[in-house]
Amino acid sequence: MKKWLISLGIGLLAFFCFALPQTVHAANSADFTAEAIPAAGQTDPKLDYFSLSVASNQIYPLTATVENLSSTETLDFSAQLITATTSSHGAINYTPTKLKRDPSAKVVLPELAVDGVNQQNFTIGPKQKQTITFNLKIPADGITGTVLGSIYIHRLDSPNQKKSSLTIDNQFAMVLPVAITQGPPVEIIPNLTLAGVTQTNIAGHAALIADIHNASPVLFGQIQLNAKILQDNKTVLTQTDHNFQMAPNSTLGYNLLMPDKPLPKGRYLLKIRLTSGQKTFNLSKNFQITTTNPQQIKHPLLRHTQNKPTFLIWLILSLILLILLIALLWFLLKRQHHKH
Amino acid sequence: MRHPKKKLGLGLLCLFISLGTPMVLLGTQTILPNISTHQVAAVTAADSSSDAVFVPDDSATEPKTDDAPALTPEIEPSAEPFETLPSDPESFPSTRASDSAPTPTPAGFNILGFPLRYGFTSQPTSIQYAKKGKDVLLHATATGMNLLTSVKFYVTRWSLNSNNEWKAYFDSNYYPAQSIGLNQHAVDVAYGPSGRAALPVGVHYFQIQVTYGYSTYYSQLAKVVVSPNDINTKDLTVFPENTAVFANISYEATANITPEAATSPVNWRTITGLTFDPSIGRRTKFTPDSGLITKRVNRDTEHPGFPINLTANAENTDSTISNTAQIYVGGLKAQDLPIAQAKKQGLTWPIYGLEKIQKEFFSPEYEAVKSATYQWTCYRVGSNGVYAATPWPSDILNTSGNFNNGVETLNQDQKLTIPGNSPFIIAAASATKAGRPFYVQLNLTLTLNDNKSITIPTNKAQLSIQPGTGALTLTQVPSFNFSNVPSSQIYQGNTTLDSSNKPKSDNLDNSTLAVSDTRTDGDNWTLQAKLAPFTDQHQQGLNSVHLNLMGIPNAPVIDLPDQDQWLTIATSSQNKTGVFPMRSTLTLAANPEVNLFDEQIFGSTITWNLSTTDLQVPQL
Repeated sequence: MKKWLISLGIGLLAFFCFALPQTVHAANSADFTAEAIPAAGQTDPKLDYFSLSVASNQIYPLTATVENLSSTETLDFSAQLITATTSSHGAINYTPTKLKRDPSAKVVLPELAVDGVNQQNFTIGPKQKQTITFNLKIPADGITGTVLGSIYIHRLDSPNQKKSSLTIDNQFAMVLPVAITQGPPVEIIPNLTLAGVTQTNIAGHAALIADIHNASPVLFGQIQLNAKILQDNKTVLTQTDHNFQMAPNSTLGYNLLMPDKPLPKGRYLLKIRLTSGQKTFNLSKNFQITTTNPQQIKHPLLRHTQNKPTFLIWLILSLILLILLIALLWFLLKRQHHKH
Repeated sequence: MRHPKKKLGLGLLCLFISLGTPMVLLGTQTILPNISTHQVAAVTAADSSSDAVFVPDDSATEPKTDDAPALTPEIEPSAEPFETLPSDPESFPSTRASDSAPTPTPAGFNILGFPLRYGFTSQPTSIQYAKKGKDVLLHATATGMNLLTSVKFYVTRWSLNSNNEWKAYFDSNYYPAQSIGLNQHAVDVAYGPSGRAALPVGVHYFQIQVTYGYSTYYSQLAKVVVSPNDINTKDLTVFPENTAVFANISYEATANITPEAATSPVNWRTITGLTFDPSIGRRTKFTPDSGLITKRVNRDTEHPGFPINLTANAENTDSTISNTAQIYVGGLKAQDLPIAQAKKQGLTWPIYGLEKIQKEFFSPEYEAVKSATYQWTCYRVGSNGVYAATPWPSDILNTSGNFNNGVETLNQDQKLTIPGNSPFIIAAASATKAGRPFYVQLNLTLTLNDNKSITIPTNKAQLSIQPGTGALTLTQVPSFNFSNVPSSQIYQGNTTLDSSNKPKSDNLDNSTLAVSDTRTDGDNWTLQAKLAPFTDQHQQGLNSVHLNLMGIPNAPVIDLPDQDQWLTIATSSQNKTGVFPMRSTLTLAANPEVNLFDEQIFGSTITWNLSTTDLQVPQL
C-alpha cells in the first residue's frame, strides 16, 4: 500500500516531466545473410528459393548457408520451418504467426521434417559461414497441390539494456521460401468459404474481419475482391481490392473498414465476389452486429499483463468488498440483535 | 585524282556486266620497314672476310623513281615515299631517262570483283636473296579491265654492271595475265630453272607493269640479290601487321631474316582458315577466313579473338629456321567480372584492331565508304535451351548505329555501354551462374560508293558476371529511441496531435534503412517488419502504440502497429539501391491508468525480415 502510494507520487512527478537520458546501442545491422542451396528435386537452380518437385517416400534435404558478415561478433541464430499463411493485406506470408495449423491441410511443411526436427539453433563466428539442413520426408501417399512455407532464420540477440523512456530493439530475420509439388501440375480449384465475420477495430476505427478460408492446397494470386454488405436487400457498404494472394490452406482475414461510423446493431448479409484469372467465387454470410462501441468489440485495446496496478485494484476492491460484507454482516447481526 | 576517277566511272559503266564474287580482297599501300641497303652492304662486307666472294657494291646505288619520266605521263606521285631512295645522286639515274624507274602507281582496290581503283593489288616481294641458279620468283596481282585486248604484264630489270653502272633491260616478251577473280589478274615472273634465263650474280631491281585501257600501271620495285653461293639464315622473326585481326581482311606479314643477304627460300606454313598470298617470300599477305570465328565463342579475357599461328620457315641447305607470331582473329575479348563491379561501374566492350579498318576504309585518299553501320548482337539461352540472338534491353547504349566518319568512334563515343543499374547485368549474372553465360558479337557493315556492302564480323565473346559476395543483407536499420516523451502524451494519447508534436526518434545520425543486394540471381527482395507491444520493467503494458516510419518512396507514412503483425516496409521494386533515409515518430493511444515512475522504460522489439525472393503466385 505504501509502495503504491510512492509509485503514484513519483508518477505524478513524472506527469510533468517524463524525460530520461538516452544512450542505447542496439544492433543496427543484420550482419548476416542466408542463401538457398539448390539440391535434389530443385526445379530451377536459378531460383533463390526452394522449388522442389518430389516423389513419395523420398527424403529431400533443404540446405541453406547462413553467413555471419560481422568481422567481430559471434552471432546466434534459430532456423525453423514455417507454414505459409495469408496476411490480412492479401499477401503470402512466410514468417511465423500465432495462427493455428489449418485443419484443412493434409500436411504442412514443418510436419515433413524427418524426426520432427523443424527447428535448430546454431552459432556462427565472425566472417564464418554455416550450412544448415532440414531433411524433409515426403509421405507415402504423396503431396497434392503445393506445400508452401519457408525456412525462417532469426538472429537471436540478448536484449539490449534499455535506457530511453521508449525504446525499440531491432531484431533480424531472413526468409527462404519453400514450395513443394509432386508430379505434373494439376489444376486444383480452391475450395473457398466465408468462415466467419467478426467485429474489430483497426487503429480505433470500427472494422469487420471476413475470414475467407481456402481449404485447398493451392496458392493463387491476382485476386480481385468485391465485397458488399446488405441489410434488408439494401447495400450499406461496398469495398473492392485488387492483387491479393492466398496461400494454400490458409485464411485471409479480409478487413472491411467502416468509412464513417460503425454499422448500427442489426442483422446483415456479407457478399464477396472473388475473382482470379478465369475463376470467380461467390461467397456470402449472414452476421449480426451486437455492439457499436469500438472499445467493446474484439481485440481489447487495453493490454494489462500481470499488471501490478490491476492486481492492487483487485486487492482494494476485494478489501472494500470484504469490508462491505463485514459491514453488512455486522449490520445484519446488529439488526437481528435489535429485533430480539 | 583525275585519272582514277575516270577509271572509276568507266568501271561503274561496266558494272552491270560484272557478277560479284563473295571474295573480298583489299589492297594496301603499307610498306613495311626494311633493313636498308647500307646494312646489306655492311653484312656482306662482314661475310666477305670469310667467304670473300660476293661483293656487289650496291650501297646507295639503286634505280631512282623519276618524277616525270616519259613512261609515266599520267600518274601522280605516290603519297608514300619510295623505300629505297639513293643517297648518292651520281650513281643513279644515269643521264638516260629510260634508265630511271617510273613511279609506282597507288595500290589498286578491288571490292567484290569491282575494280574501285585500277592498279596493283599485291606487289612483288620487295627484297629477295637467292643463290645463283636457283629460282627467283616475282608474284604480283593487279585489278582493272581491258575491254578489247588481253591483259599483259611486262617486266623491266635494272642490273648493276661491271662498271658499277645501272643498266635497264626491258623484257618485251610479256607475261600473260592469270585470272584470279573478277577483274583480278596475277602474274608469276620466274628466273632460273622454272622460268626465264637465270639471273647473273649481282644486284637487280625489277618493276612489273600492266596496261588497262590507255593507262599503264607500275608496281613497286623489287630488289633481288643473287649471290654465287648459299648464305644460310641464322635468325628469323615474323612481324604481322596487326596481332588483332578481323576475318575477311588482308594483312601483311614479314619475315625478317638475319643475315639480310641469306639465300634460304622463305615459305609460310599452311594453316586451315588462313590464306597466304604469296605463300613464299619474306613478305606476304594473309587473310583469315570467317570460318575461324563463326562457330566458336571466345572465353579468353586476355586476347581479342582466337589464336592463330603465323609461321615462316627459312629453308637452309641443312636445316630449317622457323619463327611463329601469334595473332588473334576476331577483335573481341571475353569479359569476366564480379557483379559488384558490374553493378557499380557498368561495363563497355572494347574492339581491338579497328585501326586497320580505319586505314583501309576511312583513309582520306580512298573515299570508298558511303555509309557504315554497326550492330551488336547479344546471344542468350532461350526457353528451348538453345543460344539465340535476343533483343537488347533499351537501357543498353550504342547497340547499333552508324560510324560514317570513322570506325574509332566505336571505342570512344559510341562504345557499347551496359549501365550498372541495368537489369541486363542481373540477367547476365544468373546466366553465368547457370553455366550458360551470354555472349556478344559485332557486325560492321560498310556500304561502298557502288552501293555494294561488305560485312566484317567479330568473334563472339563471352560475358561472365561472377557472384561477388552474393549476399542479400539488411546492412542498416534505424535506431528507435524516444527519450523525450511527455507524460501527458502517455496518459492522454497523442492521436489528435500534429506529427511534428509527436515523439521523434533521437538518433539523427543513425537513421538509415539500407538493404545491400549483391546476389547474382534476381534482384528481388521484400523487407517486412513487425512491432511487439511495449512493456516496462514490471511488464506493465501500454495501449496501442504505432511506429510511424517515413522515408520509403511511394509510402509517405508506414504505420506499424504494436501487434506483432508483419507489414511490408520496402521492396526492391521501389528502390533497387535499397537505401532509405528514415524518420520515425510514435503515435500513442490514451493510457489513463498507466503507472509512471522514475527510470521507467517501455521497451518493444521490431523484427525485420528480409525475404530473398518474389515467388510467383499465378492466377487461376
